[in-house]
Amino acid sequence: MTSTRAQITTTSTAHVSSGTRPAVARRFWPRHWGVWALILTLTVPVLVPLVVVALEIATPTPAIWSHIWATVLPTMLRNTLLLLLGVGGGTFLLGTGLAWLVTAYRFPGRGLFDWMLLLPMAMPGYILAFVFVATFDFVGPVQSALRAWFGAEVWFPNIYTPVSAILVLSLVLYPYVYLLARAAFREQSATTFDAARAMGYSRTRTFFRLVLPLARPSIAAGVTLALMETLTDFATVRFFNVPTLSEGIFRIWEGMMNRQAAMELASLLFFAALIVILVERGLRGRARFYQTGGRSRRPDPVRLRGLRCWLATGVCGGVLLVAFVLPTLQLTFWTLDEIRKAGAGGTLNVAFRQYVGTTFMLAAVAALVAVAWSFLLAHAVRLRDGRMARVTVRLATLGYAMPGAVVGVGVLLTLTTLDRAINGLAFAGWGITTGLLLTGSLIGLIYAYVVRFMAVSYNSVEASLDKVTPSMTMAARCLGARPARLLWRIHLPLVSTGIITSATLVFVDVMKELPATLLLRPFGMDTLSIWAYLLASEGFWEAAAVPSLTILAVGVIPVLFLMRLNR
Amino acid sequence: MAVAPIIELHNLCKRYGADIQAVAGVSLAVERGQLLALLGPSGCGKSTMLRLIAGLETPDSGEVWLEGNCAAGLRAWLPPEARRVGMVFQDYALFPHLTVQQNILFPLNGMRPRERHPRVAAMLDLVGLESLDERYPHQLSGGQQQRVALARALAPNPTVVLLDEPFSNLDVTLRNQMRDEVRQILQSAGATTLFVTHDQEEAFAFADTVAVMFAGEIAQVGPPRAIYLYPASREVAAFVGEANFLAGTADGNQVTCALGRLPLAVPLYGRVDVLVRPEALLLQPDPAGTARVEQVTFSGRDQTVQLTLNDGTRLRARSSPLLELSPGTQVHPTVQGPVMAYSV
Amino acid sequence: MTRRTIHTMVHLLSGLLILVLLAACGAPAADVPAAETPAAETPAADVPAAETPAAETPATPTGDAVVNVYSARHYGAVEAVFNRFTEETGIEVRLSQGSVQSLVERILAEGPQTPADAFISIDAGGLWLIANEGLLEPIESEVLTENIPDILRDPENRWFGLSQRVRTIMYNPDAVGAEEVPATYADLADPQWRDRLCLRPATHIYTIALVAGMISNRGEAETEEIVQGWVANNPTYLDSDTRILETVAAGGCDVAIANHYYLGRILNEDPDFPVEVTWANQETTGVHRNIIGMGVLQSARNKENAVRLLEWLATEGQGATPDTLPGSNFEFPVNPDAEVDPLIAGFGEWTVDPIDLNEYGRNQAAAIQLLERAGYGFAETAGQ
Repeated sequence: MTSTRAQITTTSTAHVSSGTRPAVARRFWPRHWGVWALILTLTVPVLVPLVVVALEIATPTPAIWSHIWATVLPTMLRNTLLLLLGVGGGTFLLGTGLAWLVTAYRFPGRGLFDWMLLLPMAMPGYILAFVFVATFDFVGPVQSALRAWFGAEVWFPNIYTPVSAILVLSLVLYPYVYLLARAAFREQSATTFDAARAMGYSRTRTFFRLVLPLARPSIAAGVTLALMETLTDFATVRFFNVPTLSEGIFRIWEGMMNRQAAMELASLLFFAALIVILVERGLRGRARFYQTGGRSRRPDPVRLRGLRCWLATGVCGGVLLVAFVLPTLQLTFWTLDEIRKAGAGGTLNVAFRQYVGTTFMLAAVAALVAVAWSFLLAHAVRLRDGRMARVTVRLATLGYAMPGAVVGVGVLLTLTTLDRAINGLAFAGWGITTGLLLTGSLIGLIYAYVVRFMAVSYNSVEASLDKVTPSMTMAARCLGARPARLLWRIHLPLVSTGIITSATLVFVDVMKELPATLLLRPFGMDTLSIWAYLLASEGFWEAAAVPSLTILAVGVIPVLFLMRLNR
Repeated sequence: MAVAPIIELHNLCKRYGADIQAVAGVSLAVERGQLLALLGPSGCGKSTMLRLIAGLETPDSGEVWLEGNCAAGLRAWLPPEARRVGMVFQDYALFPHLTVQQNILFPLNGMRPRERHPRVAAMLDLVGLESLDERYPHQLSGGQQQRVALARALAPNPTVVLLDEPFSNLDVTLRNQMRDEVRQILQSAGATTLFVTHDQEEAFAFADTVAVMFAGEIAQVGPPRAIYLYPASREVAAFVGEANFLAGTADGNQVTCALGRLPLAVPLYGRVDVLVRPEALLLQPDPAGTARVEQVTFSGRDQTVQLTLNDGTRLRARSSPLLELSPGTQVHPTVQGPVMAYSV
Repeated sequence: MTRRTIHTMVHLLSGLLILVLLAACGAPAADVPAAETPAAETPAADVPAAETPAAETPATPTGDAVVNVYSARHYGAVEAVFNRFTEETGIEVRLSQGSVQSLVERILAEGPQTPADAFISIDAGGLWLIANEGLLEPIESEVLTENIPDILRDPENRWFGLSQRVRTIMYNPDAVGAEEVPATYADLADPQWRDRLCLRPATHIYTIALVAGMISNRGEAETEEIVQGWVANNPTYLDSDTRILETVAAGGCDVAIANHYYLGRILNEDPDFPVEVTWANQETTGVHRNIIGMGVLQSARNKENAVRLLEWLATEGQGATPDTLPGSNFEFPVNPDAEVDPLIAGFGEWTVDPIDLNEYGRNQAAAIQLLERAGYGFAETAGQ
């Protein structure tokens, strides 16, 4: 007993707890400030143009506000809301429905449709819009044919309504939802599915009660992307005479004296976008998805038979036809026409090469910068995970919801102020005028692209960083990897897919971008999209077809690439 | 004088937010070659302790000393990559884009290039996976993945190996097998190990020293047998095994309770709760016995007998399957060995 | 996160920044040849090979023979004019194109540091806006005063008209009898034209200028009534005069307001095109006329070259052939000595509104607000 007692005494008294709690909790500061400095360095420049815009609402001009309230604002708000609801619903139905069709069922052509349904992503909304208008307009082929067959009094719906805009935008934006929904469906394991079936759920019920909710974060993210695109779109809706907030900004801003009002309207749009973002956060919930080692088995697709099988093919084919194939054919015919008329090369050739070179260069540089930027930011946030960091980043990705025109003007104002400051400094210090260094330069434009498309690249990079589990990061650190090596050997390779995806998305987006480019492009540096838009808005369909087809062709390649990566 | 302990924790404190004190003034020492288990219920702060030792968290106050050097303290701070601590995570955290060999090579940057591959081979040999060096993590089974994680952690010859609930991801049969294998691997490597678990059976089977932890504080440290037979407090007693508590009066070396006068392992005075382990109760069928059998649950290798004493106290006893008892039988219970008691 | 990491990051970022800066400085600001418009509308002339893009172009000028122009014209045919100028003078013309509004915005934002030397606008109002901010340089030049009538240039010589364009009423003779043809813009507000009217949306400068002119002549109240009348007739808004005319020809609407030269272009291709032109307001104020005009910027670095271009456009650049400014687009020249294209001459004599063109600029804001108040430009079924 004595020995036992001794045992107990020695063990239980030797290292027993309940020490006194310290009065002051010490912090280890020097470690943290470095990461925060980086986060701020990467976030603040992206926020400044937006802040400039948001502040505009603090200086309202009552006269202008009462005017637009009485005249155009209600209509614009109404249309914007209509468009948001319409496109939200449209892309949800199309994107989710098609994704499920292609994932869960087998039918003729499925393998092809699997990747081809992504193609409309390469089609900018305004290009589809003008093809649409050219086709269904009063003087277009459809109505002319109808008049030829049924007489001059035949009825045809008015195409200049929000419905047309909703249709066109849904067709062009559903690939965002499609891509994300498809990825989410594929990640779901067969066991959950089988469990539901075993409990007596029909396939349909399983889809609505289980599959869909599980995929909710991805679908929400996709729909949000589509909605943000809708919010900022001004060119597509313009073709249909539908005034929206974003289009209104451009219109009001173009009306000179009302630049002030345009900026204030832009602030309004800013807050509207915030609401969309908050709604998405709510929908997304708190889920974070880690991919643990080993892939789970995917549910087997069901082979469709008979009518349903052809229906499936028909639906996929139909969507593809309307959103991509037919417009592309039309553009091709017009382009061939145009080439024929332009004769043997000459101006068209040179102009073409010029525009392609410029566009490519801009898109590539912007993609590079945006991805590097996002990656560093995501990495820093990873290291200093916390609510503050995440909130800061959320703010940084706000630029995506801003109309390109707003970002453009915000950047323009920021840069001109900077330029004037630099000029003043240079003059005071060395008596030289530096002129416009930033404004109207490549940097300015790239800066605007980064502000605008940060969200796209950041979200992809962050999502793929999510695949790197915290324990992997911790394990690597315990194994002696300093942050640089951690970045280079662990984080970077694992997210390389995400990086390429994100670079691709930014590339395509920049190629299609219009308003900010219109505003900030360096002297003489016109892009394909500007060329196409200016011609199309004047009704020169054939001429506009040449750059449009090019945008499409170039835009398809990254999309195919994307598809291969997400196979 | 003995060699300085490999790990020394002095009054370590860590708090999350305003109201969660994860680690509250813990002091601990781990000797070289020791296999220490941190045992405690979920949320008691044991994983936090591990992360503090690894350097993945900073303590609010207190010090961490590794191999005689201060790794975390008032003036010093060593980031995890500078501490030579190997850690195996619950989900193994193998790098999916690297092969097994590359995974194990990863921490060997400080080694001379020509020594690296032999080291990897030695590690794979140690864990018994020589032929799998070209495989990717997702091509391995759970047990194999764990072994790779272990090999990777051991490869750079760390000061100490930390295991965070290492067996919880394995199914039961594999668990026991892995436990023995991993223990053997660690012992043959001579590694000082600290591992964290909420499963007391695992802690007892695996470790040679167990530290029981509740609510951020260490309640008791000692060899498994001591913890089990002579728990320092009621909580510890209840956590590490089934326990019967009887009211009693102690007067020095003995205590009087419903089971009679029993010898105490630790002298106490006054009103106490007496701890009687189920297996310490010996039962003899006796019509004049002081206890009545209520229920017998036969489990094969033993049987659990629920008793009621004459004064109404309910007890659980565990006896060999050879003893045939049926409900309603009177038995005479006796207690083996000295008992622990706790003041009320 | 150690200092080492920060260093790495900073190096990465600065490396990137340097790359980008280099790219910015080296970006060639090339002479961009705009695409050919449907060449069928302009007689195929031998278009000389476009200028090859210039090499290095720093932001600061070198004093070469160059002039940088912000041009609101974006018809391919403009190229021919500038090419001829370059051939004859050796001065290269570099264009940056956009809508009037965006170019004005840009010039205003860039202020004295704008790289542009001159601004070519398709609307006098835009020129007034820039001039009003003091950004246009008054040019004293006999060549200009002799070759451009007073009414077609700024009284203070800050901008100069180079080509005239008339916005008037067009109609389908099969649907509109000779007696029915509207005589004034106000006539189009008559209910008989309900569902028969095609107009350009309020976003385009043509519409804005027209209304600005009307405000100047009639005052806001009356103009607003007229515009409300237009809106009440449920017009079809099409953002292209060409499409408007095509729609009129196809029977989609019976009357429209459009620029004269669009009809010229179409008739050049298709002489049987069933649309007729009538000069509006002949008995009253005279038909609405706007100009292609050019101004030299105060901060221009190639001022002499810009003035030379201006003078050349007012003299050699006038005429009826495709390598002249008016001739390339069936517009009326400003120079009274210049030839007028017979096709548009065939539209008949016209009495023009002798309004000070600066009024288009002064009343621009009021015109925009008026159009918005009247609900102009929104399809009736839009956002019901």
